[in-house]
Amino acid sequence: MRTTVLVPEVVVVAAALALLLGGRLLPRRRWVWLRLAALVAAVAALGLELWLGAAVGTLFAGGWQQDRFALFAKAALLLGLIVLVASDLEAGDQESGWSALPLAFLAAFGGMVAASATSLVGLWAGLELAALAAVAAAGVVARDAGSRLLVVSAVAGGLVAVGFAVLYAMAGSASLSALSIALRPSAVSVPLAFVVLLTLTGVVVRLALAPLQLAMLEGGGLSIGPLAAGALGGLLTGVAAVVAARLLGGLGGVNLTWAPWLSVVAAFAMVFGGLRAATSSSARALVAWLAVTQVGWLVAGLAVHDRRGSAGALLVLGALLLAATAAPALAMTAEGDVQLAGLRRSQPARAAALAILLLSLGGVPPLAGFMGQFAVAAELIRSNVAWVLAAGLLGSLLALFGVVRAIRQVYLDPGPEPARGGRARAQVSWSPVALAPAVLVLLYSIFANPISGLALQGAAALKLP
Amino acid sequence: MLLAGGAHALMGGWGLALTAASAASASRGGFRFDPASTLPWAAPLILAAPIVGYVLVLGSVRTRRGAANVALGTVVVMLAATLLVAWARFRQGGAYRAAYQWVNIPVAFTGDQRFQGFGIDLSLRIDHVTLVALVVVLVIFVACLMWHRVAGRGEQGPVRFQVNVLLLVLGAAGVLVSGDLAELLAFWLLAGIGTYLLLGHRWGTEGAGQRSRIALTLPFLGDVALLCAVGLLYSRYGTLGLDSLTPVLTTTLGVGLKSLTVAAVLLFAAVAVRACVWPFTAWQTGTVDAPAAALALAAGVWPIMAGILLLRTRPILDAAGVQGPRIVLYTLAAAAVVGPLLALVGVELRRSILLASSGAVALGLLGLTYRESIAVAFTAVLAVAAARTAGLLAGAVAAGAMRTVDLRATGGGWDRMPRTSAALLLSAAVVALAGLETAMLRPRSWEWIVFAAGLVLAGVAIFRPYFAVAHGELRRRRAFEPLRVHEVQHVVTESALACAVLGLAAVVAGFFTPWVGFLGAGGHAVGAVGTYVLWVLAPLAGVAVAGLAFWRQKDAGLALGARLGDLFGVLWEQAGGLYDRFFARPGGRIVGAVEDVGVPAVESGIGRALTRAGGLAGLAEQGLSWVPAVLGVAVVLAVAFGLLTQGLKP
Amino acid sequence: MSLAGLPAIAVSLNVQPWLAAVAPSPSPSAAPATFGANVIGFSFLLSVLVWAPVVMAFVVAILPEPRPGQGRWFLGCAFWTNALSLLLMIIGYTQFQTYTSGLQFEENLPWLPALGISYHLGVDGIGMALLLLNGLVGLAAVIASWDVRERGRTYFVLLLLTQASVNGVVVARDVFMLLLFWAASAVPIAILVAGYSASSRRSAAAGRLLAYWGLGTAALLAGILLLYNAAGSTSFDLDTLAKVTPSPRVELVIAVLFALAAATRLPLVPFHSWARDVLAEAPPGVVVLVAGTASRLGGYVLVRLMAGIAHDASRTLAPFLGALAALTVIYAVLAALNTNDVRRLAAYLALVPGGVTVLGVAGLTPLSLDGTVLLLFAGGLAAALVAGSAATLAERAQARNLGVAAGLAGRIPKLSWLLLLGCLAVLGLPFLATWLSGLMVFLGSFRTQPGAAFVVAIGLVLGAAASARLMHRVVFGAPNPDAPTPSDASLSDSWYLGILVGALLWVGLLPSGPKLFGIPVVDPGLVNIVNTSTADLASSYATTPTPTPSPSPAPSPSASATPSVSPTP
Repeated sequence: MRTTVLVPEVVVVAAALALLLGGRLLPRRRWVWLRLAALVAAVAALGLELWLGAAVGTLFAGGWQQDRFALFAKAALLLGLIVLVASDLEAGDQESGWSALPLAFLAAFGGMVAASATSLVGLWAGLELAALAAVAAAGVVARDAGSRLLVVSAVAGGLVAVGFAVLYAMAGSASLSALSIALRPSAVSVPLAFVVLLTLTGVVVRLALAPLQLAMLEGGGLSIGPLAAGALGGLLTGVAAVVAARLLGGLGGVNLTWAPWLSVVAAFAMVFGGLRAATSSSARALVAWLAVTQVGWLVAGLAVHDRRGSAGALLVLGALLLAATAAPALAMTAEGDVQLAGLRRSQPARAAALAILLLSLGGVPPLAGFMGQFAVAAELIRSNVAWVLAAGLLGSLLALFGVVRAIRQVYLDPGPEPARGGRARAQVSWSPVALAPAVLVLLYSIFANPISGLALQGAAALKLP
Repeated sequence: MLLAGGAHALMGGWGLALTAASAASASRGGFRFDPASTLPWAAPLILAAPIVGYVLVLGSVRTRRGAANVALGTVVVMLAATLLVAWARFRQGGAYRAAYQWVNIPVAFTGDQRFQGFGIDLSLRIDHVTLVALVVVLVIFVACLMWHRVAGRGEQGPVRFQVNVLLLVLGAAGVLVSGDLAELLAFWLLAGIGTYLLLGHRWGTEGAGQRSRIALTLPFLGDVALLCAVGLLYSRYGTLGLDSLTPVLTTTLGVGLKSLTVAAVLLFAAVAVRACVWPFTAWQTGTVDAPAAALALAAGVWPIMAGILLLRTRPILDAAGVQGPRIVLYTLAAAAVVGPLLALVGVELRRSILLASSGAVALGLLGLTYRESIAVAFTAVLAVAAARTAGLLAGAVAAGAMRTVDLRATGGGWDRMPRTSAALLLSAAVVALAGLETAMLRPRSWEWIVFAAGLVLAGVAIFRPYFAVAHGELRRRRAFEPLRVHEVQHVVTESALACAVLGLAAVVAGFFTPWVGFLGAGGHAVGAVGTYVLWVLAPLAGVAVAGLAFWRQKDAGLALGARLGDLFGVLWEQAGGLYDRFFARPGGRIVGAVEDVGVPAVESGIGRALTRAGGLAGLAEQGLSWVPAVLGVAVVLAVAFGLLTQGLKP
Repeated sequence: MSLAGLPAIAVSLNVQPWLAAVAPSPSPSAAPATFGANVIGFSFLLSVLVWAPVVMAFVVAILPEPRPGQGRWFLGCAFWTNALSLLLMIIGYTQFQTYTSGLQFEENLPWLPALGISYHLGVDGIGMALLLLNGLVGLAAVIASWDVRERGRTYFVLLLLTQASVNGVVVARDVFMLLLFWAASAVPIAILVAGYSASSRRSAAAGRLLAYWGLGTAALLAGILLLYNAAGSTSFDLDTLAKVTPSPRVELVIAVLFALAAATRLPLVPFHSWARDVLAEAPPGVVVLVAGTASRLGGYVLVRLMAGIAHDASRTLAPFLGALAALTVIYAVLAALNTNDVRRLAAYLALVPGGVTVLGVAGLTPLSLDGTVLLLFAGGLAAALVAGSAATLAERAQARNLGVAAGLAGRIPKLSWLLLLGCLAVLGLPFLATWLSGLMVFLGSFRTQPGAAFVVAIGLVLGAAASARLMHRVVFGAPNPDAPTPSDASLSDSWYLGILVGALLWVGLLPSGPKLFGIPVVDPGLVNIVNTSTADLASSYATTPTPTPSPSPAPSPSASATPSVSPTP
């Protein structure tokens, strides 16, 4: 296999470094060009990934694997990166938070590493890189938030590290393929189950880390800025999902052991997220809790432990990355939460985009979120875990209340009246950049067929039954 | 006997004269006119004319006179078409049948063949009974319209009135000519709506609102009973055609007496409610303040339609074993006695006429249930219908002139309003005598008691208002000068007189065998006066009692009636109160409790629970330190599921 | 950098078969049945009907803010979209072939072959009837919204999206698509109710609507997925699922879930509180749309999915459905008798056709099912008429209390008569469409569910009492001197209510369509069109204890196109 398959990763890392240097060298008024360059770099990386990543094979003596799962995961992460950068352009805060941009690229790179990892080491490295980058992105904007996030992140990282270490000790190899050979149902013991479940706990904490923390920070009155929120709420969640999928692929032989546990986690996330979304008071919290609900669906798909279930989870992952990375940026400004009432007048494009993203996160048809959730729901019925489906439907129904309330505020509540008609007209922002994520969310369901095909191939690449 | 023979010659002569015209014209070889050739258009015209008239008046006519002319013209055209059909069918005993497909669909390709297809035809089934009924109904309409043109000049919504009259005449004609149960039901309901709108015609007052309420709700009970009967019959026999239904009534497998009895009782319920016999008289007695012509139309037309329905569905009643006919018999017997009795209670002119004649209607309907008296009983129904129309129209004229409907204040009719009084007298006589022939044919068993009592009471009850209006002194009242009371225009009184004369003719015709044969509805006329003449004593006794009571104790009798009426009103109100207390209010309370308390409580309970849960989750999320919480949950879950998962099971 | 990766991408994205399939399947309606045939003959008719409102909604959303003189732009867009859609529907209706029970105007493109989901649209007789209903009610709803000026852009966007989703449910032949459109209609209607009602209860109304419709959607989703699972998780296509025979227990669960979905949407007691609030609080345009079409979809699901697929379970559930129908009708009219709010009373009356519809499904006889589908059409129009006229009357009379909005017949005759007609239509006034459909339901139901049919009939009597109460106060009663001065129906009010009345009359008078010398002219007849598919649907319910199968359907008793005259002189 040619090493050109690594070009996208190189582009992402190079872009991160360039942004870091550019931020230091260029005066603040030119930073808008940095953001545009970042967008170009992300688009280029996605194009290159789709171009070159279709080739299947391994590099570095099997240490690096490019398969359909990697292709799907990387494409999804890069898509998330694109909408994150695009929505950052729309976010309006051109004066600060720029330094979060290279960190978002690094988080995406961590995900790409994890997607192509063939061993526990690769998975751990990718996950931690992404987590550190995302937490740092929050930290550079709000130190207090960063420190709190760092603690939780460290706990999760510790859980994952310990778990991985024990798994390595039991399998005698860090390779995922060796792990799947070594672990047979007969080999499952209480310590193993305990350790693996702690490992998965760590991954799950990472999965839900960003949304939970976002909501908590909102409750605590701390603002970590749109870019960091997107990186945490979208990219890091995506990376954690990629790691979980890979890991479960490696644990294929004994997956059924922890299936109920994952199902409970999924049901908890879906219902809890729905409850909080229905009662959350701010746009940012709503986005965060909707993301938690989506994460629940994703985990439910993984808990099915077969190709179709994982394919459904990947479909959810794509939708989640698209919506959850962009929505925070649209739902908040430098001052904090965006004023939903009257947003239709002041920023029509942002209002429309936010509405579509919220609907997608809420799983309202025919948007991206619904497609993934439906695929997962079908698999839940097929696997006779209807109670998880019931929990999911309850969560989605509750989430719907929050979404409708927010859309009603956006479109029907009058909001503050502009002082003068002329000035009001001048203040109206029609920035098309904000619409990019919304358009992608719509295209996701229109092109659900090739995407789901790729997701199926990706799930097959995980060698699940 | 001689009478009968003479009448036979008369009828035969009329028939010959009718057909001779065409025969003679045919023999001359010039213009040939065969009335049968008009049937394909004359019969449908009976239904087409009111539709056209309805659309015309509804769509384009705006003036009172124009609307009245179109309505009257429409009814006259219908009458002409009916007479043309009658001419064509004079010598044919069988019914003229024509069916125009309205709906015809194959609803299934398997299963019971009876239910594989569904069709409703606009089918005309015109026999002699239908023709006679049509003539009487249309004459009643003409009379009421003529009456309303003059006497109802000041009525509100003149165009609306004519529109509703046309709706009623369409429904009535449709019911009479229907050969299909679904079609009959449709026209029945249509006539019901027309009646509702006519009885609620005057609006803008609380009384009008109340009238409209009664006029829709109570009769609709009977209409829905008819719907259920039709549904039940179709569900058992798979056919809606009256002719196709009769032969299979007792030969269809799987259909027992129970179904037939239920169907018969439901059909009878529809008949009894719409014929307005006791205990279903409230929808007419409660709407006496409606325009007089409207009330007269409702009171005159519906008994005939009900009679036709009972006549058409007699085979079902016959096939329904013992219970069905028994229920019908007891109900009608009670109605024949209680109706006139209630007429003696109260002094409201129109109510007295309605209730008194409701007894005669009940006797007529009762006669329809006996095979040997069908024809005369139907004739009696026609006679009573025409007579009560006449009575109501004349009564309305008298009440209008004397400016009261209280029998205690009326009087002197023969002195000041002779023609009106004559119409009242004629109508009263017809109502009193109508049940006579049927009684003569039913000497058997205990039912003669019912007939005797019914005839006596009808005589008393119907002549009481007559005496009160036509005789005695018309007293001076505050702001009322009796000397100013005088006869109204001819056309008004002649309308009433025409109906009364028509009723009298029907009563007389019932005595003639050829008439019975012409109707061909079964039964026979009174063969000879003979001992049957004794039955005449019953109505005469009634009239005599009424007369005696009037001349001997007029004021005391009417005062007693008034007191009894007040008492009855109080009882009625008490009954209403009981209904309100034991049915309406509890029902309302239950629904209110469920609707305003129960459902919202459940909904808000769930909503609150979810909101609280969300709030608690929020509190926990802010209050708890996440690191130990997440770790604790993870460890607990890990241990629990690590121990329980199937991987650990041997 | 080599181009070797390109085919790999193509393979990985699996696009060829999808692209290759983007060719419409020809519509079988090439041969015309009546006048109007082949006026249009393209295969994307249904797609146009579904997506044109969406596209126009997008156009309305991005139109520049109109100048003061151009306040009606949004209304115009919505109006012309609906008018043209209705025209297309009518042309499709006239082209509809009544001698085949197959799908017509069919479109079938694979969408998610991995999951067995396809973009499969098509209409049979049932779908055509409901599509026409959507067209008529949609146009009426837009005209009823003539006075909406404030936030008109959002209003008409949401209205168009709702119409698109309702059309989508009707034409979808893939249950995934059906579910998609079914669920999609909830959000816009909820926002319309929450945002455009003057009442303080609007939030509660929207919340109830969301909750109940969400519950119904969840039930529908679960039922569909169980069915999909029983079919081996291979296809969501209705034609495939119709052949599935799951285990009796699973089939019963599926049927119960479908019935629950229908009960929340139609709605049936005790899932009716959203309808009471929405029909009593929302603006007339929304009321017409919800009562006329959106809620009829419940009956559609009951017929199409429950009765059409789960035959044995439907038989098992029939008595319960009958009881539910009876409860709904009785409860609704009792509630109507106990309210003093004109709009609430009308809202309760608007629940009655739904109850009768369910009685038809409970009857499970070919005739009752035929009547049920007709009643979906007629009941939708009647419910929209009674609820819409009450809403408009309350607006025009500036009062909704029976004590205040009293004795209006003399002052606002047009609206009073229309309200009266609406009440009578709900009760089944002869020669309105509701009468024939109701009669078919009753005649069919008495065979299998006589008890329920009797109770529903008694409910109709109570319904008459409730209508009489409404008429007593509002139309015939004494005017209230303290009431504000009412104004009669505006031109737009007359038009939108006139459309509903006209459709009721047309189908009621000419259910088999107008004929010239026995040949159908213009209209093949709604009864015939509905019957093309209900006969097939009901064939499994046609068997009786003594079945006598016959190859060809028997004609109706004494049915003859020309008069048959008895012996002439």
